[in-house]
Amino acid sequence: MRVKVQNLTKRFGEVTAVDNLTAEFESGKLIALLGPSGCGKTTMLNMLSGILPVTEGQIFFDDKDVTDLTPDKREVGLVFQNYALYPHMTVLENICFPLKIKKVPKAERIEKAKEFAKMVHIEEYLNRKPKELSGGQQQRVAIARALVKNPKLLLLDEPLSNLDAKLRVEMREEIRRIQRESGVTTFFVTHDQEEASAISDYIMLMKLGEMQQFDKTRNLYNQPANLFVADFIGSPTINQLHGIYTEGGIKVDGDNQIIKTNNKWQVEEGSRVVLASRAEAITFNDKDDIKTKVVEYYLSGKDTLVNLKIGSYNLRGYIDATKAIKIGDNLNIGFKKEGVFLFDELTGERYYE
Amino acid sequence: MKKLLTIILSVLMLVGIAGCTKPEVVNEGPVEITYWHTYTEHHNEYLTGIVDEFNASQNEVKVVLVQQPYQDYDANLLQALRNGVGPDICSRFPTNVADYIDEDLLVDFAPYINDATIGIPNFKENLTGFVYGEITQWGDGAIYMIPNICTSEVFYYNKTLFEELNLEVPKTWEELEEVSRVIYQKTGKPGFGTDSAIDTFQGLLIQNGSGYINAETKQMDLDYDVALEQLTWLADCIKEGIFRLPGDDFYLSGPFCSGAVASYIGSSAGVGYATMNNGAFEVGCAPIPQAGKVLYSSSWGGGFVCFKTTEAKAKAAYKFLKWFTSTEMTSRWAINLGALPAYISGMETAEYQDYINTNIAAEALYASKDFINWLNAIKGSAGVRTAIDKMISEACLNNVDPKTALDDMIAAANAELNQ
Amino acid sequence: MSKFKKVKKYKSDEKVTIKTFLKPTIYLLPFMLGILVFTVYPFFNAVAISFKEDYKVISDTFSGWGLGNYQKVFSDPTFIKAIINTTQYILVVVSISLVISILIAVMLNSVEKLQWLFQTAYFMPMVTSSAAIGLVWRWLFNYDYGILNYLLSLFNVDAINFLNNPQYSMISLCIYGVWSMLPFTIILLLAGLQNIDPQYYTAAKVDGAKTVDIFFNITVPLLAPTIGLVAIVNIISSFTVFDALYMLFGGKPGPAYNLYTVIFYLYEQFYTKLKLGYAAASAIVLFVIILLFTMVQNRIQKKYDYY
Repeated sequence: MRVKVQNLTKRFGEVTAVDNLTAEFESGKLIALLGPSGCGKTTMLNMLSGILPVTEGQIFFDDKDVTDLTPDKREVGLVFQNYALYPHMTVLENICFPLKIKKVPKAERIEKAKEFAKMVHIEEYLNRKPKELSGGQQQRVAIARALVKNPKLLLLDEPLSNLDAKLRVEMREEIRRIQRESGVTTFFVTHDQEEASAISDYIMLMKLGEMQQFDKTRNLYNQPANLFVADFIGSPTINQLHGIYTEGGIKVDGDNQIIKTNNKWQVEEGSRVVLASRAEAITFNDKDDIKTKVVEYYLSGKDTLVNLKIGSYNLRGYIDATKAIKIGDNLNIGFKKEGVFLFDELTGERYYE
Repeated sequence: MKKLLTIILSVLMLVGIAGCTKPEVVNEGPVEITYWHTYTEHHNEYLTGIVDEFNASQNEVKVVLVQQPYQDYDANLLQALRNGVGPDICSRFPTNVADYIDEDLLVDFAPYINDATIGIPNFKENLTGFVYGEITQWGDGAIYMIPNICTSEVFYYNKTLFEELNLEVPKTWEELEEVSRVIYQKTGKPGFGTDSAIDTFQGLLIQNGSGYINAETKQMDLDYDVALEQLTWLADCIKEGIFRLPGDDFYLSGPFCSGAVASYIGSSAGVGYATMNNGAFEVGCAPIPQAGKVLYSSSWGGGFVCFKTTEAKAKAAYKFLKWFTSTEMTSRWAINLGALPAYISGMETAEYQDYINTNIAAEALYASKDFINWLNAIKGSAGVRTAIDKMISEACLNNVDPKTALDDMIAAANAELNQ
Repeated sequence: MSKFKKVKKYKSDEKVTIKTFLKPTIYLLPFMLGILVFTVYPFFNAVAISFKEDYKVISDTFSGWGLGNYQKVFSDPTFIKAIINTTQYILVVVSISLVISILIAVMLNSVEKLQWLFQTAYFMPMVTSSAAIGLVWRWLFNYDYGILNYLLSLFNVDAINFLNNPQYSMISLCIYGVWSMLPFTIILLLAGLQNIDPQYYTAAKVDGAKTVDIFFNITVPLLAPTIGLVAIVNIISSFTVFDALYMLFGGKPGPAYNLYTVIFYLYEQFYTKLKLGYAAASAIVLFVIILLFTMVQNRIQKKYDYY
């Protein structure tokens, strides 16, 4: 099912949680709602589910306006952050519950519930109570419960945040698998950009209620719309050198060099800018002439992650581990064309080539 | 749970603190006796004055007056007696006395009263009506109670209404029924009610020549036909609506004052409440109706008892009581309480005779003095009263057939007496 | 679990000396003495008295030991009637007050703004003297001018003699009983409701449940432990129904002595008939019944532990 939001706004008193958001989400995709806490991503999810009424704007499922529909009429499945499994019901009863409400005959609903239990691999625990399950098992039950009523939309609210690191990685793959198998349009709220990048088809990155960028997952990394996106996505965090654009290059604060890259930006002379670069966009070729100093380095497999100082700023790059370096060494670097972006320091707007 | 505990606790506290008997004080000063009572306000002040007067009049006996709360007085007294901190004297009703005698707690005043030097001459002859019989009912010539004053049932009526409807004050129950029916037909309200259906029923029995309790056989001694006839009559009148019971008002003085019932039988002591109508109508008072065979109006007189401790105390108590029940004192005390002195000499004083003219209830009481009577109060007679009350409620309010109600009552009453 | 049990036992690091033993003992002593004098001793004394034949109150004498008091009590139709009445009263009052309380508590739980007001209001009956309450209720029930009969008259129902007609007196007692039980019950249920994570309601809503579905499928089952607890507590407290009876019917057990309860029986045997042996025996019978219910309560509490 296609989902469209039009000028969607939610205000709690003076606070605007979601601000005039318009977007269209393709059917059958897994979309991550990403952002730091307080960015409005859960609010957005709750408005999609119908738990929260919208302040302004509209929500369309396919072409139907569902803005004023209550949750029970929206045909959505919701998985809560802490799963909200009914503690007095067994696993089977929990999964059956949405069907019981729909007055599906008992035999049929048990059959269906078992089918979904199988799909999420919890068929062995059908007669247990939630408190007898591990976090991961509870999450699977919650997903099964959300899916059993055959929703047109599956909403997951930080479903992995209560799990330990190893299980988290496992479960996110499970979610990806289950989503593919069921083919249901899925929204997935998370504050972890790595998690979002790992499983989603699309990411909507939000900040203070405003949409920063909504695009295919890869594009947020490769083509960030602004400095916030560039900064939020990617690990290690993107390098940022603040300075003045002058003589067709960037003069980094606290340094006299004018750094020239392979990109062609149209920037007014004397503008305050931020030169952002992915770690992998840093080169250490012989002809490179940007002078830096080694501050710290970490061995990691075939590469060494090296922390360099240029002016008042640090930047990180991957250098061949065979190359001998030590702290305090002068090291010349260069920038590739890809993975290097220029932003206005004040607005964070990107200068496109 | 708390309520249960409280009750269990009070039961046990009572039983509990054994062995703490009051230390015997032997000293040369006046013998001290404690007197418990429940009078309040001006009655209390007047009594204090009387006791002070007595204490000042001599120096052998000192009476210490202790005012007790009316609520739970019976239980408190019992508890105090059990724990040896009770009073030496207090005023009690014959039903209580029966229980005390059972445990051999009371001083027999007969040797003192009949003594040639300290005795009371003409004690028996001077007592009104049947009071002497009442205080000596436990046999062996013993006198466990010294009465002072008594009250009884009187008939209060709405004089204004009676005059309006041209009605005579009923002298018999038949007349009462007729008068009540007229009032009911004219006003739509019951013409008569009784504060104590038990006493009224007892009265109907005795007045019609039936017995009550046989103290020897410990059995009910009713004339069955009379009892059934009277109960049926009472129930019929109540069902017809011409009579009523107090019900949730508990006392009929309220309904009487507000005009909800035109006459009622209540205590002579309640005259203040019966006339509390802001001048809405004039209140009349008369002796209660009679059936004719035996003149009877039930006696609500208590009497002083003295709990056994020492000979000295008993003597001291007797000395005080003799003084308190003297002609002058009984007359004064009766006037203060709105009651009738238990002694003929007390009634005949000029003060009391003057008083009668100012108090309609006292006047009615005085007119009843020769037939204010008593019933046997043996152990279990309190339970008999409960059984009668139950019978009347069943027959008059619950549509139980009077014969069944009466049979149940007799069975229950006999069981109470036999315990 | 058994292997952890030993760990649970708390052992102080401090060495037990006379001083460390005495100090807490002194603190506890007044309380312990109180318990001993006002609870332990009276209890055993009551047990003892219940086995004393022909016990006399004031002189503290008895003729011998035996089961006479129990025989008498159990063969007394009034006591049997008292047990039947008490059971009827409990069944009616506890169940009706529970149903009403659940509904009220659920409604109150959804209005947050006025809760302080209601919570004060519930306590009014608990802090008002029972004599005053009895008086007010006697007015409400009055045949001639009571407001209940006025309300009934609005529906063309003939006035009911609530307090004087033995046929209605049990109903009146139960109405009063339900009313007096509501505050405590509502408070406990409200506390129970506030313990339920609101997320379950949200989850149920998303699962398509309507208000009624949520009430029966989520609220009631999740409230079940509290309901069970409150029911037992109310049953136990109802066994001791006495105040209401005494107040409403002016010291009589119902207009035609038709509403004896176990406590009223006990009261009458003691206060008016001075049959302390019978009173003690009936108290012990009541104690055993209440003890059984307390054991049931403990069971229930253990069974419904969801979290």
